[in-house]
Amino acid sequence: MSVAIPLFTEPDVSTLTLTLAKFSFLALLYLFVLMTLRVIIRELRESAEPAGASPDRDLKQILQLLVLEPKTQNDYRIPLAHNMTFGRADSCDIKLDDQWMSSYHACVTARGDDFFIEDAGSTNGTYVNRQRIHTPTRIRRGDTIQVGRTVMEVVK
Amino acid sequence: MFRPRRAEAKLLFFALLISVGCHLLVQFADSDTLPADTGTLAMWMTGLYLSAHLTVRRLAPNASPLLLPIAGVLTGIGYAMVSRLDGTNDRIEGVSVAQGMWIVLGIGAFIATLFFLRDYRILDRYRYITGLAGITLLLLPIVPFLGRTVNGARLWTRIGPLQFQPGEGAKILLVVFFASFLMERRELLAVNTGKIGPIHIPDFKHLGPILAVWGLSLGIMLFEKDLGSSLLIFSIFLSMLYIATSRTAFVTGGLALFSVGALAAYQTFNHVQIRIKGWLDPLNPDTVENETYQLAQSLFAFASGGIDGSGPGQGSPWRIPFAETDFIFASIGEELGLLGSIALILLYLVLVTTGFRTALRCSDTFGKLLAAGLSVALAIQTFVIVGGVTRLIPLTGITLPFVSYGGSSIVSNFVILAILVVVSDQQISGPRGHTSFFRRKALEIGEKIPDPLPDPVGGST
Repeated sequence: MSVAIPLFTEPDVSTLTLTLAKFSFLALLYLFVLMTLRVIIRELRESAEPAGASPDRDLKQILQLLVLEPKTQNDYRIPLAHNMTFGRADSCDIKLDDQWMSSYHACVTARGDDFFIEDAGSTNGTYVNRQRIHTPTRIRRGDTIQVGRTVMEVVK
Repeated sequence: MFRPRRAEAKLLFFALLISVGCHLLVQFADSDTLPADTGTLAMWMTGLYLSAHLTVRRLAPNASPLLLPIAGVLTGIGYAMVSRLDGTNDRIEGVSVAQGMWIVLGIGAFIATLFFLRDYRILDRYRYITGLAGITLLLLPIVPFLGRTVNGARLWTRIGPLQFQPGEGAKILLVVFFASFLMERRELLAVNTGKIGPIHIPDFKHLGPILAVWGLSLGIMLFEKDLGSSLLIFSIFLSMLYIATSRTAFVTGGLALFSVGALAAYQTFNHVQIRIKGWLDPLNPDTVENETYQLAQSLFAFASGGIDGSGPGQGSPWRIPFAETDFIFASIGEELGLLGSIALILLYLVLVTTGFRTALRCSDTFGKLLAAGLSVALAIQTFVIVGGVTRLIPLTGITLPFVSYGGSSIVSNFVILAILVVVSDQQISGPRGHTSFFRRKALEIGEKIPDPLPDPVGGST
């Protein structure tokens, strides 16, 4: 079973092959480790690129929601962020005391520099430019969004 | 643009090469001819890795591409090592077939977890059931007729023909419970409202349940004499508590508690004393033939492996008792040498950092704690057993994740992997990923399918 390598004799062919095979195997193993490290670097680069999802981005660059209705909250601005949830539940990122809203009403997500709003199965629906939406809808500057009775405009 | 699934496919191809290559080398060293079963093995491996990859492609397209291939390499090397040890003595006869079956079941569990756990946040809803189930699993081995004592530790359970270590499953359930519980209470735990003597502590009301679970799991494991898992659960608990509250006081307090516990265990349990003495002096002539024989053989294995190892299939790792489970890292150290061992440790490092990056990038607290907790579990388990067999720390017998022989361990580690894949998918899945969860949640609260509002804008205010 065990192949003892004699110290002072010529190693035979099979021993040589095995040694070669062993080092090729170790080389392959380290190649794999290097490949995983390369993937990590690429992943880190990807997430370091300025994306809408980055929370550290300059607020002026980012789209905001300006509340139009109700009038009492008129000047309220909400900077858009990735995975932002709207609703009446405490666990929502943006909790709005609006009886027309559902506990989990809508969700904003980011892909690159684009923001999307998506209805989360709410009772009264989510509207973009007065159109009720059923799929994630891209929102741009100047769009109006309505969730429950709250109306907001997308501004820079 | 970075395509995670393409990167995963490429890495998996290399994982396949390494797995089959390692097996080939072992067999070749043994018989000097190419073994006949290599083709079958290559087909099985390809089938398993491919089905896992396609499932990830379909169900978690944005998941991290590193998790599955690294587990694949570790499993492949582990399988080659286990089949290499198969038949070298009576106790480990037929383990390679069993291990092959467990790997198939493990990949099956991976796919099933991806399939049924489309959204990990569901786990959060069964908080106390999960905690209770974890403790029940831990208790199973103590139940008469069900529990079995193997090698002095009562951690096996037999139900019908099925024999397994419930502690492995309990580990996952307890991490889920801790994540869920800490998510809800972390702010309350981060402030001091209670007091014991001069020390300010968080309110006992919030600390109580988690201390109860921890104490119970620890007590059970001491009773079962399973020090490895006991240490593992304790460290997971402490790390998660720190991650959730970022209070160093918990760590120092926990370490103090640990020292007291360790000292008490040393005083009371004979087997703990043997472990410590063996750690300090494994080559003592009085004990090297019996109590510290295993550790001494492990050290000899590493020493004879040297820098580049004897080559797969060419060492004599069967000299170490339990070379296929707890001591598999010593077998690898002998046959692949320092280079191979370091490569393996690097792979664990990448696996664990991928888990932590998943936690960092996850958008909700539960997912963060879950990913961090599971990564900590993998990291500590690897550290405890690798440190144990290399005599860095006292030896406690637990399995090396994905590599060691053992069904419960293989299956539970693939479930952990699947949960990490799910969490790493949902953090960046963008608009698509969240629909199902919110819709489900909204419907469960009992809301009706909506009637359209007549005129959305400009209603009365």
